[in-house]
Amino acid sequence: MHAYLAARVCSSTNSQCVPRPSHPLRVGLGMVAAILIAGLPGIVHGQAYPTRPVRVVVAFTAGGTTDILARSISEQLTERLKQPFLIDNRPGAGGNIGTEMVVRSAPDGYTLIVDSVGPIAVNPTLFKGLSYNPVTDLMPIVQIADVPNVLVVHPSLGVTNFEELVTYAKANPGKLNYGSTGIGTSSHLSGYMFCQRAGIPTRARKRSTTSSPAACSSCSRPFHRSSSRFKPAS
Amino acid sequence: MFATIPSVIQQIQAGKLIPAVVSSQKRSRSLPEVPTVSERGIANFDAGSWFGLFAPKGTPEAVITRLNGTVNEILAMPSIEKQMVREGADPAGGTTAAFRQFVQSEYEKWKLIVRESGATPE
Repeated sequence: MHAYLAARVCSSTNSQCVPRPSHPLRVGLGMVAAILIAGLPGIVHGQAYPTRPVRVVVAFTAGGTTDILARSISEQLTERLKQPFLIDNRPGAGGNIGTEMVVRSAPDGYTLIVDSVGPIAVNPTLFKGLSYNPVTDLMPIVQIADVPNVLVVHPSLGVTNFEELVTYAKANPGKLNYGSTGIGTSSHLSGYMFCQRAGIPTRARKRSTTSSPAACSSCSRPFHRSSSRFKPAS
Repeated sequence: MFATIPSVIQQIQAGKLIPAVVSSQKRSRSLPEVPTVSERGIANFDAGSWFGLFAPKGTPEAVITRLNGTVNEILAMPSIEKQMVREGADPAGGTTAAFRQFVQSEYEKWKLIVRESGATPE
């Protein structure tokens, strides 16, 4: 009896006293509690998720690459997780509008975003004074796809491969234009990086103002003589 | 111009545009015959686009894990893989930790390029 009491007393204050005699009921209650504690988060957030429709934000217009990928994944998520995954296009400001909306949404699993290199990795530097940081304010779940950019030329230029293009560009400074899908997009910055690294003279040209980056899809930027600010290719 | 492959793959296949190089480290599965910039002598050139699924900070780990697992299963489906490659995208997938690390490295990489290019939003 004394030993039992001593064990009980010290069991609550000194871990060295365990194991101690246990009442079967206490074990049973303990197991119930353990199951409840372990099980609740699963019921609320895991196994039962999702219990209602999930919004999948796309920070670009319908029909673009982000939208197409998001729709194809959402269709399959809908089928497998038995709840609708609904696309919500929120374009504007280079993807910042939709991205910020998700940053400010409840972190409950019912608002997600399929986003791309631009809003996540480029815009935090490109846009001064963003009130959020997509790298730290969003949780990466999974990469869906790699989508390389391809350097394309019009057949009328008469070049058939990369070497001929570089030779032509160097021999005809200022004659080639290159287009991009918008300032600060990976399309534009790939072009910039390429000219730098390939040693093709280039110069930043101020272009007319547009209301959104997407609006300059047809703009072209000439290859020009390099300014001193731009280091030659290494 | 540098364009995302999905936006020009049809014109390339129709012969209306000639592909010179791709901007990624590895060749594109959609245009396997087109060399990379790195293969053409400009080392470590990697400037592709990528796409991923994200949730607001604080989303329960159980949800993140479930979605990661399910999307990986989806990306492994032959029909999805085929459709993505046909449209110009290489299916990715992988762990949440790997994607987090990738996002961080992409942020660091583009920070330098944006600053060097002097690009500003308009």
